[in-house]
Amino acid sequence: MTLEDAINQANIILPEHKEEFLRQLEEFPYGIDKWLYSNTITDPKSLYQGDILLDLPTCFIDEDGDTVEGQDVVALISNTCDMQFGRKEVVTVSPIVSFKDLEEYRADDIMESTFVAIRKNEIFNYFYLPPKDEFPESFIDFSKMISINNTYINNIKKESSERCLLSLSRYGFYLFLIKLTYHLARMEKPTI
Amino acid sequence: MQLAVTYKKSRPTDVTAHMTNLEPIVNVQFRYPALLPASFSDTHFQPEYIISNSRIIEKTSKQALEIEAVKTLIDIGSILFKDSRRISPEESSVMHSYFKKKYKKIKKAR
Repeated sequence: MTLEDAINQANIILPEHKEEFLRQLEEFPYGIDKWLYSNTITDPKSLYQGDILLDLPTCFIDEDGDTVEGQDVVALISNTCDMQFGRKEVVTVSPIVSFKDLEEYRADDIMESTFVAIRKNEIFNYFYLPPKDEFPESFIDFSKMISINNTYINNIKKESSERCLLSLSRYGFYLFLIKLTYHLARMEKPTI
Repeated sequence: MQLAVTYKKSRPTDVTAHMTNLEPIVNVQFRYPALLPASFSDTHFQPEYIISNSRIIEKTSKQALEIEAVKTLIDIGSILFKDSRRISPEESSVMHSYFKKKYKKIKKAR
């Protein structure tokens, strides 16, 4: 199956977007910095899947069963409808890691080859985010997902809109959805 | 040869496929809007159902459309991300150190 066939069969991509989306993907994995982001936040009042927000509380459970907490830039993973105020109780987010912050942990050449792979979207659970304005070169870590209360996160949107940094363009959103679905539901190759 | 798929509306998971010769298909129940027996041709059969996990699902149902949506996203992903891989143990170790330094551990009282 060609990419064109696959996109044409995808009912989740609107018919009027297919041709342009295919054109945008001609240089893939390169060139996404030109079209991944929207020029403005998609909606000043509502949260959208793929939106990037600053300084949200995040936490995990570590190998000792203890809680590890922090504040992070995050990407909204939940379906847009589910995130609207009063819908689902929680919103799922994933932390975003900047290349600059990660560079502190360079181990010889490991990180350089990792950065190259991330830029080409060649690591299953990382979605590459090119730099834009003040936003640094980063990636979304789909392997970590955190639940945050819907009311809390919608109040941030309402009262601290400056913490809502970026939205994805329509084609960026399609790429995000494809990567997320592929990360969660791909067929594993059999090991030899 | 003709292929007919029959099932009872009350038990949609029980399916019987009949391969027949040119004789008319009789005693067959079809759920609307399935094709009537007279509409079957010898060489052409258009299913209006998909089979998923041994269940028959009407092709235009929300469930079938959702299954199809995920399938097509994976199809596109398998082309775009065909060279993708898991993170290596070394990379995993670096990520572990990163989050360990950036985040604060809250120890449970035991």
